[in-house]
Amino acid sequence: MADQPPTELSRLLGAADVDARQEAWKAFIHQHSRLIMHAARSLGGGYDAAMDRYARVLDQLRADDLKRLRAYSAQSGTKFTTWLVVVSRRICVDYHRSLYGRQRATGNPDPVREESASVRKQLADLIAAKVDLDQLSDTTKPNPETSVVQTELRQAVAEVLGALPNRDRLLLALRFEDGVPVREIADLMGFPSQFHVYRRLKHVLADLRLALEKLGIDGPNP
Amino acid sequence: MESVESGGTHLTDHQMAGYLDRSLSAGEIEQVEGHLADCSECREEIRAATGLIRSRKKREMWYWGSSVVAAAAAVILFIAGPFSRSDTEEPTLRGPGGAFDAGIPAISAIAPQSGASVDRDGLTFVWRSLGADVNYRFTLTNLLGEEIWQTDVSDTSVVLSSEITLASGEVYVWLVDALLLDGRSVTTGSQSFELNR
Repeated sequence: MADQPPTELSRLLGAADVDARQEAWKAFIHQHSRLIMHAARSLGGGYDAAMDRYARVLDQLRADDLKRLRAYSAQSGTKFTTWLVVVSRRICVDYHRSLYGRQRATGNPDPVREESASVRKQLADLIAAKVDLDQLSDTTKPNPETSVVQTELRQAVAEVLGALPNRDRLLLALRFEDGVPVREIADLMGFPSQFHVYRRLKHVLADLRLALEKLGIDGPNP
Repeated sequence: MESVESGGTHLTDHQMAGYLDRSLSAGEIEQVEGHLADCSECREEIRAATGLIRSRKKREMWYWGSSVVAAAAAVILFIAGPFSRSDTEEPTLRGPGGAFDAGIPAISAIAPQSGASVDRDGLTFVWRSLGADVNYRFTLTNLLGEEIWQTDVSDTSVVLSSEITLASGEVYVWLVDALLLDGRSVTTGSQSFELNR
């Protein structure tokens, strides 16, 4: 499990003088420049932008007496290259944001509408009712009865979702909130295959249906 | 980034990398998955990192695979005109830099020259240096493009390992790749030779 720190990193962190550190830094860059460039390119924007981010990553890794690199702990068992991918990407994203500000990736900026869409989607999958779920969450209609029903339904769904194990909550969030492909979920969460994801989703949704039924909900109307 | 344990808002580098590596304890996984379930920003970030790692692996496979394909292509040309010294084969530069790749020095193959007939004993491959602090990857394939031997060296020559058996009269292909500090790579292109009977 616990990998030793890569030789080039150990040499860099343990360099006794300026010359040794310079040599070690060169070796480190040589070993990992491909990976860092890969992370720098992942944010798009052409060659110059990528090179700019690449340089930024190098600066940040070297800053404060290699503080960020020193934070890597082999005792954690984390592979250095995986750690470096995460760190490089984070530095690139931070840099990108410092230049262009934080951007929403996709979607509607209205949180109310997003929440409604999310609840609709969850309910559609959870209860599979053959009803027009839009009528539940259409916030433009000032019908107080509909509004109450909608609120109760949201509360019920939130209650049963909150009672799920974290892993199942993450599974549902990835699948139904983010719309992540099942193959990618399998890869990210460490399922042996996408079929295992489907199986787990089916199981979780069945449990949720049962839980909602216990709360007296067997359809979109509580 | 602050740690989840410390009541901060996002996963630490270690938590994220450890989750991707499956190197966290059960308790840590539970904690990370709980955070991810509620934090769309961290989910987006970890998805991006997963994609990077996956695409990097694919890219590396493509990168080295393309060497073999290039070798196979060169072999086809070689068979079409055996021993007609393929001087026209330009050393190529690979990399996603596109037009920016132009003008970057390629590696010059020195020996054995493409199309040469050589002896197995002491078979040594030589190429021109790209300067100090450059590492090279040497690859030897057969006519089908199947990799026979690959080794990383910092020198500009390599003696074929005595453990590698080559067949007399057969044609083989060699090439050398190197990674530049800016992330781009250069290559000798495919060089073919025949082993003397």
